[in-house]
Amino acid sequence: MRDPVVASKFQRPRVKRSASGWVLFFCLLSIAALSLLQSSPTRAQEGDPSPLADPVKDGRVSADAVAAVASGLNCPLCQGYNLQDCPLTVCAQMRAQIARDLASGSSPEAIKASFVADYGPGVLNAPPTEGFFWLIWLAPLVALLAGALWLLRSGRRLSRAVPSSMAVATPASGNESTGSEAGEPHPSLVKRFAAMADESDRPGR
Amino acid sequence: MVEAGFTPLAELGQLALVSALALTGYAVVASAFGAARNQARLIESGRRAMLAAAAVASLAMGCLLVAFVVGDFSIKFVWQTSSSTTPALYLFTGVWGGQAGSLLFWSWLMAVFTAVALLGRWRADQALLPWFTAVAAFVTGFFLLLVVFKANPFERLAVIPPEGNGLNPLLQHPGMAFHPPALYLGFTGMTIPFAFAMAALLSGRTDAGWIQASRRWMLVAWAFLTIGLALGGRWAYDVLGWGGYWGWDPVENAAFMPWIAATAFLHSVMIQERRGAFKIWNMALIILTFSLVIVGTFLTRAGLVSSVHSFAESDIGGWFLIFTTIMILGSLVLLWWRLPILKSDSQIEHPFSREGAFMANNLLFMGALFAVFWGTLFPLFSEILTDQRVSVGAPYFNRVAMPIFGMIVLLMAVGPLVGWRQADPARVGRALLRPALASLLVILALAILGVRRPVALIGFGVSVFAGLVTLVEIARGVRARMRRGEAAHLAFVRLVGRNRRRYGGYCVHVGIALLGVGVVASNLYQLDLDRSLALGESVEVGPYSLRFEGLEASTTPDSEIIAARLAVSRDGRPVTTLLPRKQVFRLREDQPRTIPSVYARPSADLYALLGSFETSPERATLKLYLNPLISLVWWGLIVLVAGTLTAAWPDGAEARVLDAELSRLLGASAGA
Repeated sequence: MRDPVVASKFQRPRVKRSASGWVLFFCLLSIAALSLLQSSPTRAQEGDPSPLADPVKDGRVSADAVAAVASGLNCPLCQGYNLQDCPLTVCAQMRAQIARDLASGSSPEAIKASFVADYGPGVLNAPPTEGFFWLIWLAPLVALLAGALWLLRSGRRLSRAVPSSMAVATPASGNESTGSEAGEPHPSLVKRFAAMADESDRPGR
Repeated sequence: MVEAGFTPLAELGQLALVSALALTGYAVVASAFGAARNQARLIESGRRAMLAAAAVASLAMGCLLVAFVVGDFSIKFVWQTSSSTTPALYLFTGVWGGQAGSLLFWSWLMAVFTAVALLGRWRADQALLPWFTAVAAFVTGFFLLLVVFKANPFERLAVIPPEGNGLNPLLQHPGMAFHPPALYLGFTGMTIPFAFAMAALLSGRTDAGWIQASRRWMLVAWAFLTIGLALGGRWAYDVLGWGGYWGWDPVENAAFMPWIAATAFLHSVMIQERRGAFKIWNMALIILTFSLVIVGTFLTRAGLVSSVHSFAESDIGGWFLIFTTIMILGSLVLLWWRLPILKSDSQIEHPFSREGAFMANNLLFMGALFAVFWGTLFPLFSEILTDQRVSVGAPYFNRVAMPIFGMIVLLMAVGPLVGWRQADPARVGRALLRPALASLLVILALAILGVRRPVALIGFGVSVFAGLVTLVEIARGVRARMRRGEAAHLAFVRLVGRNRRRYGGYCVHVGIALLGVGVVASNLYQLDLDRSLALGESVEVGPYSLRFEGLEASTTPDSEIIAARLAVSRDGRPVTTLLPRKQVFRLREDQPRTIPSVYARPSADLYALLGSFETSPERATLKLYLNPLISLVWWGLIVLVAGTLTAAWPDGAEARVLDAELSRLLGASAGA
């Protein structure tokens, strides 16, 4: 149910409970975004000779490095967009800011941390690998291993219960799946194989 | 467009809805009593009530469609999701453009599917019929109940507005006209096998009968769900404008999870057909698939998990919770009650066998399902337990779920070669040897060409391997027939025709292999750039050079469009012009739509978006992507669906039965 009513991506804040909470949240986000933008030139000027130059364009920072940071973050303003892919102008400016921060020596972790400080942990695209959040990363792996172990154990129990005489390979079963063998089989064999293959797919056999 | 006005459609529709609800209620009671007391007349009466319910539900659906066509804006739902300027194609899209309409659409499909199953000659065990009717009518009835009491599409407005609100512009795309109906067909279609399974449990006839009756339904529903997911991906690619097709969004996951469970069922059901084993497990998988359909609907409709795709929240959450609980608990209790008669007829003799391969397949599918489920619901747990709202996006799913899907693709290469009961490892090894060597060569070639990321090499290698093994298997079958003197194309057609299920399945596997290559390439090797270009400036994207040649403004009856003209050249030769656009709808100025412009080639798509623009001097901020091999994603999906339909198509004997039945029905209606 990827749903039909794709309500405005440009107007939908992350918290959705009541209309007033909605508006308040959006206002706060806008203020946060604006303050970030306003503070950016001053932040960039420290130790950076040309604050408005694009560090990606003049080769000080690679586009991949910016993408690595931005694709780990959500667009703080709209639902479901990655910061790296968001078409909003504000997001393009945030990406440019990330590039300038990287150029002035900030580590990707520090930049992400500043986003978390501004917008909360929900701005990260995936939960961090720490504390309580280990649960999300490890549970599927544990479940898969537990399932495999259970299958192996019950499989062994079952195969022990089966008398060995029953566990002999039947030539038909091998043939059925791998098709006829290489070489020149007798025409009657081919015919028989074809008939067998026809039947093998009928249910209830 | 006929002139707007007040029509009695709402009253007629409402009447039809209420009678449909009453009829399904009667069908549940009559069928269940008839079955319990063994009264044939009551059973037949229940069956006819369900058929009548489908007829009146169709009438209600018809009323809503007509209301859209004549533009009866006195009906709140019609006013909400259409306007007199809405193009004809998207008038019907309005039906699923909101809660009430989609719930009606859902109940209608459910009723029609049930009627189709009940109309034909009942090939399954007669004892299943009344219980099937009761379960299907119960599910349909629940949705009708919601439509009548909670989200009524025929609700009137106190004042008749002169003009409708208009359909959300994002939905005005051909993909959106067909994506929701395809998904709903898939979801409702999956309810039919569930009803068969419950009928088997209730009647105690748990032999292979219910499986035979429901397998094709599941296959067709699975095909529709696949088409729905594919169209949704295409819609996202064409409309949402982020250069991708799948975002691991909660609603996408909600539709994907039943797909995973159903895929597991379609495989494990073969063990039951062939060996009479895994009966309990197959029941559990059917229950799981149906529960995921309902839970998915519940999660997203009720707004528990937020998403770009969600409806506006509504108060149907509580109702869904009760219904979901009843269905899941009820079916599990039934399963537990019938455990004694669900004993396997045979046992798994050796792990290296087709049975073992299917077990591994099911284990991996369940692992993938859990990973997706866990990631989708984790934000909820986190908020409840730690009061922190986190988001779980692509990085989680790529790291946790994708490796499991990779293992599934690898198993897909080996599994079909492994014989039943106990396979000969040497024989399987011989069959795999050449494709394995060929895939190693492909990996080597890719590494030499500059593909260095281990994940990409593994992904490509596994997909190519799986594709080659399957193609070799098909070729082997064709060669065997050619030795009997058949021409190659005839041999192929007859081979597939004689073994639709097996070769349809192989075709699906080839589709998955193509999809795998496309997904790996377009995810790991996507190029993206942000550029602000002044008039006449150029930018290089991969092999292409794009020059900004100015902005173009245009208007449509309901919107204004600004486009950036980009001349694309390759090696100095002009190849095309891209026009990424921003469209502002007059009725919804707050929701500008960013329309990408794509130059699609088999090797890669050049994808351009207009971020913002200035008019004096002209300047455009662009987001540009180069998506390598994304065409394989679409082609893989097409091959996959073609394979599914091949497998679901009736074979010769079944076709004759169906023909006879059709002519009997036609003769009956001509005589009447």
